[in-house]
Amino acid sequence: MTQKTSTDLRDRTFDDLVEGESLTALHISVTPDHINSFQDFLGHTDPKHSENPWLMGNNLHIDEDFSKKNMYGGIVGDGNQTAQYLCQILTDSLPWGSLVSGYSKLDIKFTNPTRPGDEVVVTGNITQKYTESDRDYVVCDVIAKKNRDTVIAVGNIRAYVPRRTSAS
Amino acid sequence: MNDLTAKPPYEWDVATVGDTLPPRDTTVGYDLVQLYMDTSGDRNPVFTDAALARSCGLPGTTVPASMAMRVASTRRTTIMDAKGYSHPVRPTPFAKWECEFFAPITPGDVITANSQLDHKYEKNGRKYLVWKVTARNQRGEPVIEYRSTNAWEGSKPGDRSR
Repeated sequence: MTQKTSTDLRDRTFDDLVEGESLTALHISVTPDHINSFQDFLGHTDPKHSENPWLMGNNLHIDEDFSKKNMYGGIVGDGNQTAQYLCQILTDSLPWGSLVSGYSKLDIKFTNPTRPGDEVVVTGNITQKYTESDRDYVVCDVIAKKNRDTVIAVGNIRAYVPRRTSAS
Repeated sequence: MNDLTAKPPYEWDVATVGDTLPPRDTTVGYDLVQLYMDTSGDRNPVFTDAALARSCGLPGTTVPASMAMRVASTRRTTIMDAKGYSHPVRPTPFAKWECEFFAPITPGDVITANSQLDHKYEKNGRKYLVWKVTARNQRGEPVIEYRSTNAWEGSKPGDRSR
């Protein structure tokens, strides 16, 4: 069993959550390595297995020469990576298993790209909690900004909050 | 290097709602969960600690929400290829993601995903394509449905400073 501190917010239960409470902010320093490595997860860097062979040498998130010639004028982060930030802020603050146990729903708009050197801060708060069909849910508004005030993504996420069957 | 000029690019005018492919199976390997943790820095114990995951009612460790993109991708390049076109060699920025998870996904699950072009629209001088993916697990249970919107045409000079 993983060792956890007694102050871990994820040890709370659905009953402990309060409408209006803020989620713990997530801070990301965007670097070229940070952007590049997520392309590995997405399967965009292995020419033998990529579903997108055209990306080899033409990846906006990796290939500087290609990126400079295209719409953003340089390397930018993948929107999928920004979506990951918005999901992680929930799983870092809500009870264990929230959002990643099914029965959840996300609606995210991407408004600006990240770039190497950006400092991204993701914030959010619980706007609603309810129980339906014997399942507990919270609804959260989340927003990611770079360099203090430029919004890169905004979303609304309904997360299923599973009930713990035993103490960990 | 691939021959990127062998087929004409899948531009807005040829994109047809309903363009699709036969479904494809993908096994959710634990190696993908490990790769997610390594590349994102998100090391949530529910991805590795089976006892903790079981205490949440899961059959075992679970996977991050981002796994939807990896095991049930839009496969849009393959859809275009099947229609006789190639993916345009230019950025097609991710504009919107609407995703619903109907059931948990755990390592070892086999995800069968269907992908299609669901919608196309124009807004503020840009043209957008919306891809829809629906996925079931090896028991035939729906696990994911999402719509992923890409800006397809209409880059603007201001994009370079955004």
